[in-house]
Amino acid sequence: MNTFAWLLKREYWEHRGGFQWAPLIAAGIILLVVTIAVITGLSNAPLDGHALINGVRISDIAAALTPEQRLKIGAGLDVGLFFSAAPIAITLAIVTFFYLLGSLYDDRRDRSILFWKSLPISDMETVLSKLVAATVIAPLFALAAALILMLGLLILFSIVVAIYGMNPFTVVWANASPLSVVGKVAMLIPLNAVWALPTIGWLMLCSAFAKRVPFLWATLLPIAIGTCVSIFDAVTNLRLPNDWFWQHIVSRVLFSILPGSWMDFEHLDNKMDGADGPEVLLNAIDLNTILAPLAGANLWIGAAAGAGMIALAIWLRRWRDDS
Amino acid sequence: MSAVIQANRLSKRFGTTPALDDVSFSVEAGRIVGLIGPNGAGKTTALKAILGLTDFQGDLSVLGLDPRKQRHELMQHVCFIADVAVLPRWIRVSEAVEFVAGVHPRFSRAKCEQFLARTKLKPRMRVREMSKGMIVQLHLALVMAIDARLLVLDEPTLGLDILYRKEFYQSLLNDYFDEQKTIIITTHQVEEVEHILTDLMFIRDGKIVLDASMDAIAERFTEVMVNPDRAAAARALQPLGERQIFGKSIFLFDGTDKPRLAELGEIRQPNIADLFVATMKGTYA
Repeated sequence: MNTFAWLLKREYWEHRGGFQWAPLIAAGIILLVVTIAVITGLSNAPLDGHALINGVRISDIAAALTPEQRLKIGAGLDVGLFFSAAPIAITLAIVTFFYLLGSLYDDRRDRSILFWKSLPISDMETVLSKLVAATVIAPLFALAAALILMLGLLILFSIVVAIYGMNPFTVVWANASPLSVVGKVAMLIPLNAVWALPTIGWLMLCSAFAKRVPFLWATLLPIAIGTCVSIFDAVTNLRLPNDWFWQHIVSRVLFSILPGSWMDFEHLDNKMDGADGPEVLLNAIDLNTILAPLAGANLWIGAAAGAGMIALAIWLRRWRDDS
Repeated sequence: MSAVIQANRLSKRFGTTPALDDVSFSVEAGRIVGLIGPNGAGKTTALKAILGLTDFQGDLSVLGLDPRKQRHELMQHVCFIADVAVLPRWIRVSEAVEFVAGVHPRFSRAKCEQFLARTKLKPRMRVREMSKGMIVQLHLALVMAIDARLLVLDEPTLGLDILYRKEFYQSLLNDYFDEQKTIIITTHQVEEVEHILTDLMFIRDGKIVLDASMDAIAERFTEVMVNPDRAAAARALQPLGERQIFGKSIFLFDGTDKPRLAELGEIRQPNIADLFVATMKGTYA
C-alpha cells in the first residue's frame, strides 16, 4: 500500500463514526420509522389475504397486472427508493461539512500536527487525502448505507405484500431495481464532487487558516459580506441581479456540499411537464440531466475557485507556524 | 565526516522580538547536543528551522538538504519528538504502528514491537486513555524504530515523573544512539541530560552564547569554594558568577588558570545548571 492509501486509511480510522456509522444509523432510523408505520397500518387494516377494494380481491388485482402496469409499479418503487435515500444524503452533507472544517484545524489545535509533520509525508498529499476522503470515501460509505436501506425497505414491502396474499417476487422484486437506483446515485458521485469543490475549498481554507473557531470564519464571513452587499444594493441604486451574491457566492461556498444540489429544478420541471407516471421522474434524472451542469460555466468557475482555495490551504498547511 | 547541521547567519523575528539573531553553528555526526536556554530564547525556533517547520533568513543545511525546499526528503532521515502528548488522541497503539510502518521506509516494525513489549501498552489502547508517561513511551518506541540520522527532541520529558524521565534517556542511550546518529535535545531539566551530552549550546535572546564540547567546558570552567576572607581576591579575578552557601562563597570562573584558583580554595567541576544560571544572569530583568 502506498503512502496515499495509508493516509486515506488514517482518515477512515479517525472518522469511522462520521463516515461509516452516521449513514448506517440514518438508514436504521428510517427503517425503524417505516417499520413502525407498517405495523400501525397493518394493525388497523384487515389482515386476511382476502382484503377487498371495491369488491375485488387485492391478490387478484396483482395477478391481473399488465406488463405496463408492472413497469409503473417498478418505477414507483424505484422513485420511492431514490428519495428514501435523501436523509442519508443530508447526513452525508452534514458529516462532510464538519469533517472538512476540522480537517486542517483539529490537529493544529491539539498539536498532533507535529507528529504528522514528523513523518515523510508531503503537505500536498495530506491535504489531498482529506479531499479524497470527503469526495470519495465518505460518499461510498453513504452509498453502501443507502443500498442497505433500499433492500430493507423492499423486504418490509414484500412482507406487507405477502400478508395481503400477493406474491412479493412478482409484485416487488421483479419490478423494483434497487441496484440500478444505487448505480444511478453512484454515477452522481463525481459530479457531486466537482460541484462541491467551492464549498470544500472554502471549508478547508478556513480550516487551515483559522486560529480558532473555523466554523464562525466559514459561515459568518460570507454571510456578513452578503448582508453588506444586500444593504449596499438597497441603499444605492446599483442593481445587482436579484440575490446574485447569495445564490452564486454564499450558497456555493456553504451548501454545494449537499449531494444533488447542482440539480436545475427548473429544467427538471420542464422535462416533467405532462408527466403521467412515476417513471418520468427517474427518467428525467438521466445522463442529460447529469451532464447539463457540466456545460454550465457556473460549475467550472466554482470548481476552479475551489481548486484555488485548496492550493492555498496546502500552502498554509506547509507554512502556517502556530504550534 | 561533514557536518550534519550547518547553520550560517540564521535570523528570524516575531514582530520586533528577534527569535534568532544572526546565529551560526554546526553539529557533527555522532554527537548529542544539548540546546539550552531560558523560555523564549529561540530554542524552539531554531529546532523548527532545522525541521523545515518555519521560514527564516540565512543559510541552513541539514544532512546536505535545505529544510525549506527539501523537507520531504529530509524527513526520511530526521525524526522528532516535539513535545510530550502530541500524538493524536484518537489513535490506537496498533494503528500508530501500522501507519508509521506504512509511510516510513526506514521504520522497523519488529524493533518497535520489541520496545513496546517492555511497556504496559496494549495494541487496542487509545492515546486518550494513556497517561503522559505512556504516550511518551509509545512515541519513543515509534521513533527509535526508525533508522534516522538525526533525532530532534524538544522538551521530550516535560511533565513526566522521574521514573519515566530516567527510562527515557536510558533507552535513548542504550538502544538507539550510535556514532552514525546525531541527537539534539532542548530541555529545562539540565541535570538529567548533562551526563549524556557530548556538546552544549546555550542560547539567549536569539544568540548562541556558548557552543562547546563537554570536554572543552570541563577545561574552561572552574568552580571555587572560597572562605569569606579571600572573597575579595577571588572577585578581583572577575568571576562569571558568585553565590553564597554555608557562609562560603562559590565563584565560577571562565578560562582562568586552575592552579591559580586552587590557591583560593577548593576547586571543582561546575555542573551545567550552575553554569547556566551564571551565564543567563539578568535574562528576565
